[in-house]
Amino acid sequence: MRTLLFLTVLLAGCNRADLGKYELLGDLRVVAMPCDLPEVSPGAAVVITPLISDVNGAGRPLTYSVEACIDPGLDLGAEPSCAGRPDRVTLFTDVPVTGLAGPNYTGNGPAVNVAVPPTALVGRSARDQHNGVAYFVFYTLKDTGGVTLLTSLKKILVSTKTPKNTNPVLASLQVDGGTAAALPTKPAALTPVFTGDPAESFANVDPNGVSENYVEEIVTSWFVTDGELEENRTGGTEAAIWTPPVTAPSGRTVQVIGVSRDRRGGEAISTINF
Amino acid sequence: MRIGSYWRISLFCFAGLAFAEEPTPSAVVVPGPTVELKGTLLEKGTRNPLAGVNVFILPHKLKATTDDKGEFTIKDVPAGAFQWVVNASNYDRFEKNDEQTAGSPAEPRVFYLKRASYEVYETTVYGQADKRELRKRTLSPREFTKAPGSFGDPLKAVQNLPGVARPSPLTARVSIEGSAPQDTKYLLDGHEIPLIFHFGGLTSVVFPETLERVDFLASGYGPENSRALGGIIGAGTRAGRTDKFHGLVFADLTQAGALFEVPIGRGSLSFGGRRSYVGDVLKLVAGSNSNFDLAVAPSYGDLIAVYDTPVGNSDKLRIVGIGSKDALKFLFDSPVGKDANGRGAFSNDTNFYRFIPQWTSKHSEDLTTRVSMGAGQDFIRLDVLDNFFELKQTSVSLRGEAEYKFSPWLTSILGTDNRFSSPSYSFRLPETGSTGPGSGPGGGGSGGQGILGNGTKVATVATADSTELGFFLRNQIEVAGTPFTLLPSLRVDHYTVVKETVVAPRLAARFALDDYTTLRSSVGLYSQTPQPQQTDPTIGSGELKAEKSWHWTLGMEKDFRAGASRGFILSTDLFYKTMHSLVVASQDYVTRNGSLVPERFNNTGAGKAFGLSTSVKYDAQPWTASLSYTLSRSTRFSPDRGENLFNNDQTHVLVALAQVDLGNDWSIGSRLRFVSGNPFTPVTGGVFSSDADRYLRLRGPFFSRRLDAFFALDVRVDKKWIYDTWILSAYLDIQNLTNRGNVEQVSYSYDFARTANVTGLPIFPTLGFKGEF
Repeated sequence: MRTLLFLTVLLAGCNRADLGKYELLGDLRVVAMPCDLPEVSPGAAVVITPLISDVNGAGRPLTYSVEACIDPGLDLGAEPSCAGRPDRVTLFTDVPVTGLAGPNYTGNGPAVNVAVPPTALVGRSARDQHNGVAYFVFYTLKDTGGVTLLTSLKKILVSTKTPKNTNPVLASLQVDGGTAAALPTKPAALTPVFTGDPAESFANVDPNGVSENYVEEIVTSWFVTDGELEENRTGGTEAAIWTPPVTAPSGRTVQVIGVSRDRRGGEAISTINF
Repeated sequence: MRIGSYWRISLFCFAGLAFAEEPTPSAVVVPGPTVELKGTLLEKGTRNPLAGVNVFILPHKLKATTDDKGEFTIKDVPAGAFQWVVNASNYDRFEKNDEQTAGSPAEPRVFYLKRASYEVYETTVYGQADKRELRKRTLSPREFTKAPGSFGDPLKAVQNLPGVARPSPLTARVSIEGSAPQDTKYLLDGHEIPLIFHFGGLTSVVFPETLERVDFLASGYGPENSRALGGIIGAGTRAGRTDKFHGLVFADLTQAGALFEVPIGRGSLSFGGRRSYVGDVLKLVAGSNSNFDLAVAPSYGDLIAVYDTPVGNSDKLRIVGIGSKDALKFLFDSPVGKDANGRGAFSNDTNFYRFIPQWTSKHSEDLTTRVSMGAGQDFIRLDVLDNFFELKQTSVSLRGEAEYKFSPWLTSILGTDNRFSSPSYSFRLPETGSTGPGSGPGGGGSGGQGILGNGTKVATVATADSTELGFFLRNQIEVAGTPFTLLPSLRVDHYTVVKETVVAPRLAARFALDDYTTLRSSVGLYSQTPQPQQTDPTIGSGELKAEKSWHWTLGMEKDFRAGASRGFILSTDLFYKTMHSLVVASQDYVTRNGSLVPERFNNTGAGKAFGLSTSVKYDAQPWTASLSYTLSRSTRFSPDRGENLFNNDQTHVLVALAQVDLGNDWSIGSRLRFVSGNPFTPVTGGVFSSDADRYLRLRGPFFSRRLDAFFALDVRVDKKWIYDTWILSAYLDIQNLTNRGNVEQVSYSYDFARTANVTGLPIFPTLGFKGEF
């Protein structure tokens, strides 16, 4: 009868709608933090452009702060923070966020310039130098009272590898195979359209020192302000089925956002407004 | 007086007493022809022969006594009508009118006597039954097969004993007196088996009716066993019955099975198996849930055979074969799924078999030797999305001991306990590990958050032979002229996987205050190897050492019955354990071969556990009741995060059991449990990882909060229908009768901003049937 306990827990986990839906935009969110160069050599400079959504914030003033450090060991249990790290670098402190205009208050925040430390690979094994060391950029949003509302994290991979990883190019989002000008009246298929083949080939070194070849897997995450998504992530050019709202909300648009990722740090964004 | 005369006088007196129980008929003298009547007296339902029972024919006052086969013969019975009467102790009175005419052949009679009760709930046999182990508790078959809430499973019934923490959901592995579940070792006839419970802890892999006992060894156990910091749970098989062919079949909501016992020569062979259909039940329940597509369902099955035979006059051979197969396969919803990151198949197969031959020789009154071997293979494969882990392992364990009684006050046991395993394994997993040197603020042991995502898979095909050699010497010294018994022992273990030899002294002492009161104490060192994945050089660390623990216990046992058949038995022990060289996760980088590499694990962990473990048992047929209570505190320490509560720490564990035989083969039992909630680490918020496309948790102080206390009332009703040649049993087991929503874990929203409690089993009735002959 433990099985029924298992079932109870499992099904409860599957249907936990009361805890909110990841794909539904409303409260303050950082939807993505694409970096112009997701993989770089030590000492490189990169630019991160966060996509911020604050639909329910209705234009409230926000500030951002940025700090960076080498991976504190997240995959081994460390907390996602630069606190206490000797290589911690503060890049910005309480800078006003611009670019979140009405009616949806969703858009790109100010670009964040980051200089990767030239010593990031010093002392590392040949394998680490090839596969890469993570340099983490923490992006914190606060209200005007200084209260932290949300912290986001972007990884920049520092390596000696060539060629380096690049972002996929997400040309557009299609609705039922075409460009939609008006809000669909029935469930619609959302598909990403890429420029070229977004899945790059690359080689990493395994623990035995052997180079292994891989091909990226592109996954697109879907976000909507309204309606219901049947899938919130799709692979390659597969479609996500979206049931739009019966009536458009007043005072703002219905927004669909697709964020395509290559699972190595590469990100690309496309948006439709109805 | 010659012995023969004495016997005849005794028989005469006994016969007189037996007659005295009958209504005194007036003497009837019936001249005429007589007949000779033969018959067999058997126990109703089991067909066991009843030996030494008087069978009467009234009103003729004729009597016979059954032999070992239950057979009897009465001569010179006057032809005509008469009445059979049997009045045996612990059996219902038997009366039957009969008639036999002269000249016609007399058919042999077969009579079945119904036992007064088939529902006796046996008492727990406490430590004094085995002088080797001071604290051993043994569960008998009737105890474990009818314990409410355990569904007849012998190894799950152990959860009702003092010192045992309530297991987490989806597992039945228990923590013993502040130790971790993986610190508990499960043995079958002294040999470790790789899987003790089927899928989700539903049931153990051993057919319950093939066991004659389950031994529970808590802190301070003896030198015969080792490699477990917590304790030992050992199941002992039962020899099949040799009188005739027996069998049973059963079915309940999740599984069905059968067991047969066949006499072979002077010995017997028992064989049986079980097969689950829990997957079909799951399909039925989950079929309408569109989020959960059970394309392939979980299933399990097991087989067991026990051959037991005496060899010569003083030796005994037993061969046990056991095999188990578990399969758990889910295919996520549709080819794409709700989430492309979770797309693909999941499957888990675990199979193993063991042959365990055992030979016991009693060379003389003073010397007994026992040798046994456990040989078999294990196969485990786990597929998750495009990742997999596969293990194939050949395992051989050898045990041997010689017990010699040097004098009335000194008995010694010298033995060896070895295990050889030759695993070959392969896996393909996403690489985890820090890509930065230096310690973070501490998370070790709670798992990483898996966000590196550089696409690297770690794939390995490797072998890792392991030899564990163990030698032990136990001495039992009855100090002459005193009520002291000393048990100084020594255990030496060598582990090739960690390249270490551990010398472990163990000392126990017993002091009999009087015939019914015993004080006991023990101290000893215990060790075990790290988990296999921790010592793997690719995903773990190749530089680990054995984990170790010192146990101290002080306790007493008092039998308030003082020789009577009813009353209380109290058993209570204080325990204190320190643990050192525990394996903990490390976020450090260490320099090996000139490069910084992740350390992953080291032996810098420590811990301690202490508490009180008490049980009170009351036995007064038809009532039996017991109360187990454990008060304890268990903590762990690691350099990264200091000291915190152990995640299985349960301050109060109270289990109350009661059972009553209602008569007419009805019985009812109940179990009430109150257990402190497990500690957990609160999540104080989340950090959005743009690369992983999910939020990472921010943890508060480790294990600084507790889940709500657990409370459950389980009830079990048993009924037997006794037919002449077989017995039909039915049980109704209702778990969580009060339908309390016990919190088993806390669930978080995607951004860790909101929480919800996940509750465990609601009220749940189970119905099962068993037929046996």
